[in-house]
Amino acid sequence: MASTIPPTQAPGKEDYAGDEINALILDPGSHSTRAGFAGEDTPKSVVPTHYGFTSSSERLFGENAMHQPRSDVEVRNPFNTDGLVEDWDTASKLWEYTITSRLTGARQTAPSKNGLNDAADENGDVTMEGMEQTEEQEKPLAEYPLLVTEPGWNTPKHREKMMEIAMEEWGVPAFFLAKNGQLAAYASGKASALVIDIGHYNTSVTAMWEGMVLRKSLFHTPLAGNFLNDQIRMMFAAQQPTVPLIPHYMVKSKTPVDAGAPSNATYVKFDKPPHDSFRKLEEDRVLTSFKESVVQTWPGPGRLDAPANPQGPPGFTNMDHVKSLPPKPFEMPDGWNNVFGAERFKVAESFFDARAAYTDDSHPAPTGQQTITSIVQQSLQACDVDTRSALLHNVILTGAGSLVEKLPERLQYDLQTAYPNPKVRVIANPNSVERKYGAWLGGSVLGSLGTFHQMWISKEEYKEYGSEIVEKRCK
Amino acid sequence: MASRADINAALGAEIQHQPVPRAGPVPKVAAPSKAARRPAPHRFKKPAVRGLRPAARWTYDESPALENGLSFRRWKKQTANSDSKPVDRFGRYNVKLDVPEYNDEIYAKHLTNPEWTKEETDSLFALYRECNGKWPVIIDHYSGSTERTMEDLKSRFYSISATILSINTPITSMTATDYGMYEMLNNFNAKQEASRKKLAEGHLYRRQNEVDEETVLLSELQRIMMNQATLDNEREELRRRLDHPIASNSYQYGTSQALTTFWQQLLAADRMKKNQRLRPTGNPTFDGMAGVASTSASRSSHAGLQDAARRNARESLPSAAAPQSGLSNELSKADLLRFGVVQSHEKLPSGVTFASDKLTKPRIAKSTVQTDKIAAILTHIGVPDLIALPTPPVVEQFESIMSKVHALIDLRKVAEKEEQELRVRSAEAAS
Ligand SMILES: Nc1ncnc2c1ncn2[C@@H]1O[C@H](COP(=O)(O)OP(=O)(O)OP(=O)(O)O)[C@@H](O)[C@H]1O
Ligand SMILES: [Mg+2]
Repeated sequence: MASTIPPTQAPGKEDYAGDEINALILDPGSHSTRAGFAGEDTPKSVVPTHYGFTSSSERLFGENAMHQPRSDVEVRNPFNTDGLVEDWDTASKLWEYTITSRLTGARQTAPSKNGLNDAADENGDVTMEGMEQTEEQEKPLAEYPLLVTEPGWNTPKHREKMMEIAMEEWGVPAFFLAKNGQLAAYASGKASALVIDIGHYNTSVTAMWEGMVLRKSLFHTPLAGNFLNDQIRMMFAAQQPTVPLIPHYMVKSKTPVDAGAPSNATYVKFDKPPHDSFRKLEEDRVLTSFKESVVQTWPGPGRLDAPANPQGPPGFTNMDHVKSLPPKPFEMPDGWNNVFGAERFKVAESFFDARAAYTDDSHPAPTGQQTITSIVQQSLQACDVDTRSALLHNVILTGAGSLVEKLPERLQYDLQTAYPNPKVRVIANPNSVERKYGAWLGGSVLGSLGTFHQMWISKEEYKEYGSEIVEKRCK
Repeated sequence: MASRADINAALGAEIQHQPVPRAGPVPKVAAPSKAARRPAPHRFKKPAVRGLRPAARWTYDESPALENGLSFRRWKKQTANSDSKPVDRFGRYNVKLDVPEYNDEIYAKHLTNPEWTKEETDSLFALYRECNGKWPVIIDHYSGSTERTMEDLKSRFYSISATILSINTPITSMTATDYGMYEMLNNFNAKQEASRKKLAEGHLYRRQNEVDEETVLLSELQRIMMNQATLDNEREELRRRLDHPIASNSYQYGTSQALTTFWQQLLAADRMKKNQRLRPTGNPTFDGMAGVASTSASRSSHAGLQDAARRNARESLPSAAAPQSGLSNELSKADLLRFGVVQSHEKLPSGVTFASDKLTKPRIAKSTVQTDKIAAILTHIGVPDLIALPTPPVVEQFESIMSKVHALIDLRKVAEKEEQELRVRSAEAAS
């Protein structure tokens, strides 16, 4: 063997993408599915994970197909609320669509059948070597090694299934599965870190030690983007008068109205209105922009209902303080508009304080163990004592759900309060694109490392050992 | 997997230098300039052409680093003039770890332990290898039938490592580093480690006020240490004045020590009296312990101050106990052996003595006759006149020879006497 280099030394330039293999990176989330080529800085293809299911059992994928109001389309999601794939048939079709629609081109017709190949090629490099190759040719991804991300709590069954799809259906020459917490840490250039990924259905915590995932540290909670949507809905319902949530597709035209006044718009008339699930999806789009522009986390110190400062007037809480801050306006698609003061803080407070949650019959309050601070504590508790201060010094915040304003500050504050002694450092990339695609980016980095080549599981190995090999190789 | 350096470098090289598009949340369409700059992305724009291209054929270098029966492969796009030299270009990244190895025989002979089965031990070693010896990861991945702490795993692993090390190289022929390793492995104390961890854990959860208090104390210590230098200088100056050698010996209290004794005597005497004229300095070093014990309650509020003063005084006074630290504390057993340092308990004569004296002096007796006799015997038994190195074992050996030589000489004397007697007697008898 050639002499080894010390692990602290960075590999030479020639070892990066030196032998470019055009690996594909697929990061399937419960809210969006992201795919692109290794070595690039953003996923070129981002497709919503929700899909339309027509009465004729046809599946509609992609933004354009999805947002047409049709009465015969039901909106579904192939993931269950635990963040694991439930409907494999759809999931594999959706992922294939994500990759082929924008990255690799549609499924090729075999060159021997498409007629283009009849004339002799002057380079002579298209000569086929036999029937098997021709068959492989028809598989959509026969040319690209594929790296797929997975949640930390993915089951062995799910992992094997994933590999079977990649190998059998797509015909990839090589495959790898990596945990998305681990990849997000790589994207931040950390080998030891505590990664908090706030997604759509779940928020997860992953501790990494010197490049390896600590399995016992994996915790997740439903307090994420979708939960926040529900909080906002309940807040809207609790307002006096209630805030009307009318998605874009229902509005034909609108005229400006005063703040708080009923809207003055004409609505689209449907003979048969679209499915409820469609309306919910479209409402979620409005809520996402509400989250982007209005919602803010109380940055600390203390909880929202805590006394503002011990020396101040008794009974004066942080809540009273935020009431005095200038409120933020929001306009609904139908022109209704108003300002939101304390409420814009209150909706996000339950990420950190379970008692602050809005509740109704179908949405019970989360337990104290489910808050983000609490799962971080549980995760740290499962790690060796000696690693904890280092982990607390490298808390990486990622996932689109973490883009709520001031959320990193609050997390920093709460963790420092829970652990007064070690220095807590929450690292949240200020670039929202990198926060959104943290796991994908880490995959992009990993997939382009020359050192990573030997980790791929090749088709031959898959044929020889079967899908169980994924458990052995993708730790 | 990829180390931190890898990732950093990759980020630096691949991503951070690229201007990140600030565009909308869905970067579906690459900016045209970017697509032109990068080779990869424009592939997806012309699927029609792709039909002409064959699926790339991937070849791979069989990487020689095999472990669990699985082979690693390095993918390469097959090119027309592919010179598939089996070079392991990335082999140097396969950093391997030295893990002690044992076989069934060694295990049965040396490594059995009632608390561990062989299977568990095997799995521990496999895990150690797999996790590159990172204990936090090992304890995380460990799943045995029995619940074990990291300390349990460590003490099992270390004790086996030590045993295997000593089997491979006997202790006597170990190098210093090997021996140091051996000592370290043998000295792992699981209990102590566990209690250290407990403390560390407590440390992690210390209350805010304790953290604050520590901060205050530390800054206080900082301040004291800043003042310490000036304080020491002043004290040094004072001491020099007090200890200044005095021409005439007639003055009794020439040194600070004598002065202190004098002061203490006076103070003690003064206490007996009804109206006291002396006030204790408040410094126990000067006032003596008796003074502290009998000080009235009125000054107990100064206890802290006194304490500090005492500590300062002790620190700054040259400690008589300092030179006590002997060689034994400074050198480990292995080093003692290596450097040939011995501690002898015999009383040495004052002045300089040479070890070689031990080899020459005993040869010289009071009379030259005797000296010659000794020399004759030594030459006879082959002890050279000059012995090169008087190491402790040589000296010891020489001394034992010399005692035998003396015994021999004595016996010869006795024999001679007896023979003389015999001769006299037989002459008598004959006459
Ligand atoms: N600027 C923003 N502020 C707050 N929330 C946002 C913002 N942008 C997107 N979100 C929310 O983030 C969530 C999607 O996050 P992300 O894309 O990380 O999820 P995912 O990876 O698809 O899901 P998961 O990880 O749970 O499987 C959605 O709920 C979306 O509304
Ligand atoms: Mg995610």
